[in-house]
Amino acid sequence: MTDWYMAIKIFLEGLGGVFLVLISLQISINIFTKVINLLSQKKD
Amino acid sequence: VDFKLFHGLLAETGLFHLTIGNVIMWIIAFTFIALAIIKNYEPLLLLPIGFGIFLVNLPLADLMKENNLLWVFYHYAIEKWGIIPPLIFMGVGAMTDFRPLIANPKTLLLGAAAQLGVYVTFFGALLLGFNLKEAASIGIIGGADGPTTIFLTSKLAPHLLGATAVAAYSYMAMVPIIQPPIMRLLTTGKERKIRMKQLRPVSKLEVIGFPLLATLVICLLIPDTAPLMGMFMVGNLFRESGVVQRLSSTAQNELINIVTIFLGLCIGATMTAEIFLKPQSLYIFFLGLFSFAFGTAGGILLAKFMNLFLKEKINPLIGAAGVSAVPMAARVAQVVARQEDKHNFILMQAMGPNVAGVIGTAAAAGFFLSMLK
Repeated sequence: MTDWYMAIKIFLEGLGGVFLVLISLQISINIFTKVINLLSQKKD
Repeated sequence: VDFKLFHGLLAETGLFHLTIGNVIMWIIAFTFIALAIIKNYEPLLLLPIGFGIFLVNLPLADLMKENNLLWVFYHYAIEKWGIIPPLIFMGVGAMTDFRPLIANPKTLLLGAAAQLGVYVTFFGALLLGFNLKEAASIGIIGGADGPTTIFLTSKLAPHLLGATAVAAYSYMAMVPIIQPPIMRLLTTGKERKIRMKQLRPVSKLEVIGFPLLATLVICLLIPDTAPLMGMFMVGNLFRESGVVQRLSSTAQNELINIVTIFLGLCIGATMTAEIFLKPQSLYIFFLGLFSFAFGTAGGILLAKFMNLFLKEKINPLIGAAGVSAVPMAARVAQVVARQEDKHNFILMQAMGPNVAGVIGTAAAAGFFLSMLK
């Protein structure tokens, strides 16, 4: 017997989680890039 | 003439124990080998897989019996320790250039959207009667990432490993056939003609920092994906650091070649007649295709949605590259774009979602593991 409650939970948490992880990575890259740019400007 | 002795001798041969199932599996094995040699269709995998299938379907040879040769390969390399998929990821990491992704990080979203196929197919598999663990292993085929499919299936539904692995690698090889009709169906000629501006140059510090940053963010959020992501990123650090050329070269050549031999034989070894010749295998191939098609559509549709808000429009074809299949899916996006405008070059822009798809599929596998193991 399929546990549909669990299936829906996996669907929502899984797909939402994938987006959450990749959006977090996107934000981290943006911050990282900005910090590097700032540091290189200071150096110049 | 001692017929009893003759009969006894015959009974000890494999010939006496041959079944129709064995013969059908031999035909499948020979087909794989022929496809590899004649059509050059994924030969690095189909050749060892084909021979592995042939070997395990030789009656009485019992190579998959506990402690016999192929069982030892399979048990230690995949089932018990699961080291093969992470080692392949190390090699793939050493071959991956993350510059297009670092230069345009919003393409990460397209890699996430392409995982839609994974989750839609998860439901499709449940409706066809598979249990939660089996459905997750089938759904992940849509990520078009062979090692991730093997990693997840070996942990959740090892009895489906042969079918899911062959489906994943087959559809990866069939990207140029499966994706273009979906891409044309979901985009207009005008959208396919969108030109994207050249990517900015990425500094050495950014490419060296990326594997460390990505490992930190991804593994803190989904610890279960650490075996894949950790190896993927260490391979990439070998490549980008520029100080361990030998390690980088070994990871992307000798190591991945050795591991591929064992991977192919192990996958083939799981395909005995009694396990593989079931309607389930056909369902898996059908669901895998469905998953792949939905993944392609997910990436394209999100790209179109993003265009509603973006000043600088993105060509929605690059969304299709969000299913991993690196670099084939990105090349297909380029080919379809050039059919509309032969001076349009989107290959580098498509590499962003393409490598994001690898991360997205590994993340999806990590979530499945954390919820179902």
